[in-house]
Amino acid sequence: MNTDRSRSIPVSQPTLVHPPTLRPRPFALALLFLISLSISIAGTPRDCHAASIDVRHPDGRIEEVPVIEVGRAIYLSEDVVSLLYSSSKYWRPDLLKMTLRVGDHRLKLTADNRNVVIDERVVRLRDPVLYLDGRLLLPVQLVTDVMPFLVDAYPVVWNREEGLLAFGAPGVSIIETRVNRLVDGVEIVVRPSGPARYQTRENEDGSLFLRFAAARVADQELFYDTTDSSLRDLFWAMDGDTAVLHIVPSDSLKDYRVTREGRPERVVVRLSDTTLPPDGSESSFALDVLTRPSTTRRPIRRVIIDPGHGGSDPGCSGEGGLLEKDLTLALAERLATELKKNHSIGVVMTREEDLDLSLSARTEFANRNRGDLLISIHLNSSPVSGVAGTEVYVHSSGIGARDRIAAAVEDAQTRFEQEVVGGILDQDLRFVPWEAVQEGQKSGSGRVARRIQKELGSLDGFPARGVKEAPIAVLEGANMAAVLVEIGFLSSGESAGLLRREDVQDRIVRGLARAISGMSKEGS
Amino acid sequence: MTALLKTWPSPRWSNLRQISGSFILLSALTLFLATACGPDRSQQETAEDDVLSDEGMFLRSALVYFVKGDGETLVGEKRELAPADPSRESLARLLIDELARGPILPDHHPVTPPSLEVTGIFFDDMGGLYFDFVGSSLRDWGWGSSSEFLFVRTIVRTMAVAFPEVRRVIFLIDGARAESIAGHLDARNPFEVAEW
Repeated sequence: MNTDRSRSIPVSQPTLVHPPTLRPRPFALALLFLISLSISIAGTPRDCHAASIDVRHPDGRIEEVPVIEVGRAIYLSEDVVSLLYSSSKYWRPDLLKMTLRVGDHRLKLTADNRNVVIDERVVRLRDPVLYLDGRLLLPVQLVTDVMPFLVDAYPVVWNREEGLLAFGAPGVSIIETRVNRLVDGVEIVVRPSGPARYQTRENEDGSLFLRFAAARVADQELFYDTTDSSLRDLFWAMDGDTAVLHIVPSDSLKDYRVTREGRPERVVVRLSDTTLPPDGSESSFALDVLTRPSTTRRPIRRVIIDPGHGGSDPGCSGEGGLLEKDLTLALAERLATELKKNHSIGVVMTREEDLDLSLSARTEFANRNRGDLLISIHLNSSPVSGVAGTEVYVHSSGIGARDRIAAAVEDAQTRFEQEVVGGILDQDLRFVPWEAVQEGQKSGSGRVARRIQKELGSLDGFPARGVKEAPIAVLEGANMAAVLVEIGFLSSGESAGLLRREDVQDRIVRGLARAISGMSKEGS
Repeated sequence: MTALLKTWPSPRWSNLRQISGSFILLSALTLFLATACGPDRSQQETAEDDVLSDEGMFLRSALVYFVKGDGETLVGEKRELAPADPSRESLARLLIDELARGPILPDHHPVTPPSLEVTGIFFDDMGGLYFDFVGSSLRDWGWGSSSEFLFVRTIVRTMAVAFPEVRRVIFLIDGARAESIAGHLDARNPFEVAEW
């Protein structure tokens, strides 16, 4: 390790603080005084350096943590170790002893002692635990060589040259392997702890190999129903430092596709008994199957405008008692007038007065009125008063939705099959779960959102903060392009002042109308 | 290899360089006292096993997340917490209290209403953590999509760091699933740690 950049800060040799019970022992006192004095004079105090290292977590996140370098040994403060291992601790300041609870295990640590008691066993460390500056310091060896075995966690590697303490090193760990049934096949989801390099190989017998370089399988458990006839076999094996997933599909599965998906990082193998659409399709295959989004764009003839909040729900508020529910209604009315008058676009409003309306009632209303676009108008608020700008949200179901949707489809098909006379399942049945509806409209929603962001972002005082995806309740289930627009921040005094002005409201409404009108010509 | 051990100045320590002479005597004296007048050994052994004795306390280091001045970036502040008991529920409750109490550092901002109150906390066996909030304690807070987003993110992040086994967080209001916490985000489904 190159320590040229390190600033050497000589500090004391670690010492014990005052013990609780003093019991004079005259002979021992004299002898030890002489010994300690000779040690003090003969030897110089060891150098301690306050420094920091990087900790790489299993998910790839890198965090800088402080350490103390004592001679050649690296020490972490006990609170850092507690955080890394989510351990609770019991501290006896009078005895300078600490008990760390890691999972079901107890580690007993004593200052200036190399011995660590783990449950009933004693482990001797190369370097002692230290007590310095009011903190218990633990040698890095405890973190790398002892603690991982207690919690059956990822391997932990200390790389002194790089100053890196890596959890899950080397490379990545495969932390989950899950199999999901699809309507016409299966998908195998592999979750590595971070960005992973992989190769796909196909055997002549139809089996597949997914090879993850510099990886290890942290969790060998495979989440799939072994009675599932879609797969003849599925297992992990190690080939040197390469983790290999062997997939042996049934004969009925003729096609496969391997894709990398983010947040969290995962590699998905989809095996199907039909020809899969080409790569790069916007929504996942499972949802394609479920919703069959139309490839043709719908012209926007009717817009459902939803003024956010209302009734007992005032939304957020700005200076001078400006309420979000009032401003959203005012802006919605202006937008309705503008669209009808100047763009010949039909408008239906979810509310035209100050009343309570649940979020699902708004969505159902939009679907009943067969809108081509649902636009929910809101004003934003942030705990940071200086934040300003426009945000446009589109719906995203999130990773949990896939399982919920698949389960809903299966339930419905089972129920439907039982109810059909003669037990024949209607092959034309298209059961679309509520959560999946908006997924099928996602590309149209995204196009509208980008247009709105561009129009409003060009207005003074309303910088574009981007199109964002989130599980927005009012958009879920909307069978049309749907966006939620947070026009500006009422928490910002300056923005609230602008939003009060009628000329600014007019400019906002004209911008929204231009975006919608543009989409009307292009189709959603 | 480039040195990656980063250092920072520590003025308090550097002063010790100037008093190193005195320090030799001090350390000798301390060592002398510590060695010669040590605690009663039998008493020490007993205390080591008596984990729940009154003389010590349960402590837990935890990170509590707030937001930076850009209104988007989360930042953790370290807390030393002393839960009433070693249960996860106790610690989770303390963490919610800390979130409601707000940040210590001046350039960090709170993300939860100061009145935030939890009536129930429950960990299931599938990695789910449930919070049942008092509905009235969520009022009187500047709720926009941004603040609701941050509310969820900070709670999920704080809990995920404190309890690595937690995979998802579920919010109830007054004992029931709510459509949303503040009219934007869908609270009918769990918030997955991997996404938030």
